[in-house]
Amino acid sequence: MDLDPERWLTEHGDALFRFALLRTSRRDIAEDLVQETLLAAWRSRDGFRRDASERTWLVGILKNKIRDHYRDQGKQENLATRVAEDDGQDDLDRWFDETGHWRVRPARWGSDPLTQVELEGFWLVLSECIDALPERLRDGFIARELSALTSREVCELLKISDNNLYVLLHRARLRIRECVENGWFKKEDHRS
Amino acid sequence: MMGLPNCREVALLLSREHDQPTRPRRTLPVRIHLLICKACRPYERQLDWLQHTLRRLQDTQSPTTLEAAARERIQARLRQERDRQRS
Repeated sequence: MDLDPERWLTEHGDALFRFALLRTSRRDIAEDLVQETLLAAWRSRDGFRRDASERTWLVGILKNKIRDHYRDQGKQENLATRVAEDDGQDDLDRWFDETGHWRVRPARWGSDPLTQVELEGFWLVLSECIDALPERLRDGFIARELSALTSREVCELLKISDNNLYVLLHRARLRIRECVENGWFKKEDHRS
Repeated sequence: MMGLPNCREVALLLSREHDQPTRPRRTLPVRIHLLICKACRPYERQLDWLQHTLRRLQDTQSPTTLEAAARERIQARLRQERDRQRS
């Protein structure tokens, strides 16, 4: 398939936008970042390996653009605290006791799908929950669950093995699950 | 209860099922655990609910997609750049 920036926009635009939106919380900035990413990708298209995944390549460029954006703003994005927070697998003890049981039992959420209006409110809660994740968990979770990369593509993006990815996403989901339970399901006033 | 996996192990398996290229068949000990465990069963449903909702957020009607105006703006800019380099 020909490399074509307009086709990239059609096929990967939303995936890139969602990633940028979650990292910046601003639609206008996220739109600019998508544009910059596609322009940069077009200019450096000779470096694209034909056998690689286009979307992974584009998200990789976007990640750099986001880093540049925060650097230009003089914000380090709390990088120090985030790195310290994310110190490997030990946080599983936060959820499970010595015998491997849940410390706090997951609640019953009910299985009703959200209405369209509820979905808007839920999105606000969810994006805050995602924002609170340590950096690598956050990037992996967004790439996998909202930018719809395959597991293999996320491994490529984060340069980790399959098994590391499974554990990383597991840890992200445990945090997201708890955060959504507290921020959405236990707060009926969010719901219309 | 010998030989049964604990919640910590089952929770990881449930999450992995969403990421492995082919969904692995659950072993009998895991199925038994899920039948009797009052914590892992709701967790399994929560993961499915989240998965479903995350997928809906990727629909065109969702607040997380590019607006038409932005899409057109970016498209015009890309076309300009592409044509400039070709000429």
